[in-house]
Amino acid sequence: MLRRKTFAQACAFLAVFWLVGEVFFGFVRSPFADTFTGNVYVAAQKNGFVQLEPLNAQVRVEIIDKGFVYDRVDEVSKSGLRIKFTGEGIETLKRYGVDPKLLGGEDPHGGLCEVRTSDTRNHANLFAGMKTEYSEQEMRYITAHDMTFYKVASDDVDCKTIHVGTVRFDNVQIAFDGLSSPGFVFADLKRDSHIGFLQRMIMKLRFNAEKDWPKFLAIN
Amino acid sequence: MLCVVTPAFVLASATELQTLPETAAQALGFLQGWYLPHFLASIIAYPVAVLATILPGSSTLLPFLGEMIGENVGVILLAAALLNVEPPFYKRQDDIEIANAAA
Repeated sequence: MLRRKTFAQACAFLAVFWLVGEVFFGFVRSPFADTFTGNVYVAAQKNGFVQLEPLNAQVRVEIIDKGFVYDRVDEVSKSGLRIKFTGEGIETLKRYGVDPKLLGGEDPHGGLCEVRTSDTRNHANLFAGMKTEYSEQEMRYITAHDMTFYKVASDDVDCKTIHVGTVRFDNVQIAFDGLSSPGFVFADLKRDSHIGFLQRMIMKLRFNAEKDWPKFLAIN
Repeated sequence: MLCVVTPAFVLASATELQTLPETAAQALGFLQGWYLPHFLASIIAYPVAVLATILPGSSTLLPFLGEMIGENVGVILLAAALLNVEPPFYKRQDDIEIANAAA
């Protein structure tokens, strides 16, 4: 009954299986659980308006929404952000009170922030006005998430408060709040995906900003 | 071969967010969970990590479908299925005999 299969037969089966699997995950996976990179700004209130001051630094944010097959990171229990700043401007960020573990440590992933509470708002206003790099005409976020983080052990990263706003499929904005100085650290992020090509294309095609709001990081 | 390919299928989806040494460490833990001797596990940990990185992430769906039935069921079924596949460049004994007879 179960005849021994040749290597070519097994490869043919796997090729079909991979294609079906990639299409399946393209429909199932959370569209914003991905890697994003972008330039960092310092935002401060001036004459009632938020002014962005460019900082010679880049940030890389991995949004992790724990799944059964994908996005299995050992330390994350449910959802979290992995953040790493690079560039010369990290000295300024240190003065602003950003945790040093997020600023170019030895860990290639940077520091991990595990989400404790996440307050999700729909159609929220932009954090820093419209002077951003990647956003085109968007006036509002699809969703904005105001997050606080776990800090259990003393050597855990102190992530303070982070706001994440989703603009488009390829564009997310992040603001680091609750720092020691007034104002906040802002970054306009572009998707720098770790997801395979076929899955990403299907995710992009089925993504509908009006209908499926990102459920990532919503733990309550 | 089986000891390399089976864990690589299980770990294939986890490699997206990991560097190669992290995947190798995870492979080592997985292999020791299956009572493989430590020296053998540490030798094949890196080949497992490399193969897991090459394989598409959706490969993990294969053991995971069995894992839904019960713990370790998927891994055992996958190992059995892989045993049922002839390795590449393998020649069946009767094929060689037929070729010899023809010659």
